[in-house]
Amino acid sequence: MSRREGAIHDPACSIWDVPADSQPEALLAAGVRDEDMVAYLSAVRPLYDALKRCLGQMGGVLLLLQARGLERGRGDVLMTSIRTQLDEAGERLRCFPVPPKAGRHHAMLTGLAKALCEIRGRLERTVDLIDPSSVALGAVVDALFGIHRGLLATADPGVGLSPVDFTAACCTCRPRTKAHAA
Amino acid sequence: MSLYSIYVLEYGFVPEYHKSGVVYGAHNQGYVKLPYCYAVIKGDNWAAMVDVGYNDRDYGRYLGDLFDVRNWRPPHDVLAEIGLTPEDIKAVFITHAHFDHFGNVEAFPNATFYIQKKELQEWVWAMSLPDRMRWILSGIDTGDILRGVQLARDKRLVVLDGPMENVVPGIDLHVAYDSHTFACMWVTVRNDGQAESGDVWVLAGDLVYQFDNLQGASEQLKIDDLYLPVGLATGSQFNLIMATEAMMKQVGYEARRVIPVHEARLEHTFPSRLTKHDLRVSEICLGGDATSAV
Repeated sequence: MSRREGAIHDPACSIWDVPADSQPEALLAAGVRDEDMVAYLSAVRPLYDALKRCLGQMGGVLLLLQARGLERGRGDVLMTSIRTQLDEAGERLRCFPVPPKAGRHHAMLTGLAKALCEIRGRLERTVDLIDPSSVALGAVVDALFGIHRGLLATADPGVGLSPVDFTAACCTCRPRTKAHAA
Repeated sequence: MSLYSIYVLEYGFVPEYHKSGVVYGAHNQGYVKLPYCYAVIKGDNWAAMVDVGYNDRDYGRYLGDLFDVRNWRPPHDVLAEIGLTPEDIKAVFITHAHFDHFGNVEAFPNATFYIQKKELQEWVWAMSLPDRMRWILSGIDTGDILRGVQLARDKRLVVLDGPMENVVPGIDLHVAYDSHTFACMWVTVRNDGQAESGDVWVLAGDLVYQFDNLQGASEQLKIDDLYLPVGLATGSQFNLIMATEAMMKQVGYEARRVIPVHEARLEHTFPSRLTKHDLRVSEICLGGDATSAV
């Protein structure tokens, strides 16, 4: 891994190499029995998370712009990161079989990835997005909220597709349930 | 005469929660009740909150099923117990950006929100990290970031770069960097309004979950009065301990004046009552000529 510059990893750092992820055991434990769906969900989970993170970064860029908290270097690195993650997610979404049952789910995620790419293009010219009352900013924010609704629609927290990862959140380590207590 | 009344209002709870999630290293030590709460600071014709909880709409049912969160109630119901509505809230101090603290900003249409710049910057940076490092993002809802943009557009978001004294008279905001989160705030109320106050309350956010974090006991060390960090640190336990010391110093080491909002035993320390939804209202102190709500 390359050396860190400030709080941000270098664009060439190996940390950006997102590995393929699979979690078939977890999916089986969650009650998914269809092997094709297990394969699909295993493949799609990291891509769902990548889209979620790109959405958050774009929202974050806008938020920091408003707050005068987006340093030039940091903004450039974020935009590079978003581009890399979106390109990779878009490519990988085309690279695995989609069972018929998941056809609409996959189509929606593909559409969300495409929409994020379009918004990323609009974020290249931040000068139009600084004024809180600007029409351009309003349009971008509305579009990002639309994508967020899409992520909620395609969510299934029980198989790891969740708008929020609760696995180690504040006060949310798994408590004893009735099933555990029995 | 005290400037403000302070309340801790429960909006949901987990009946049996692993103690190891509350106290760092408390493995196999059983379970504790974990209330989800926010704090309210109420003055004359003015009220503020420390954090806003989360909105049950998007993922609350899943959260309820998975973590056994019970009796979640919206702010409208919870605040009514002390005679307030969400519209009455004029300021909200967001201690950190986890979903259960920053996840319901839309419920407070007249409030200005205060949050640390570094808290936002670092979460946004963390989102650029690869999937295998996603643990760092636990509890962060991208929807909250978007709602933050909307707050900024509405000129209702104040992004702070460090501590701030007298954000309103007698109320200070402090920061613990790289502790529970990247820039986790606590709120100090100098309730006599004096710079060198003799009536200080600290609302600890998640820098302290429960009394055990303030006055813990270690069988290993044979010590029964020491700081024990909370179970979750995006930063370090060291910084949590240092923040605890700073908070305790502010209250003259009178531990009951550091208020942990995830503590069910507040009812044993402060006047409290249960609502019809089995949620606790704790009255930490009463300001001026305010009458008790419990």
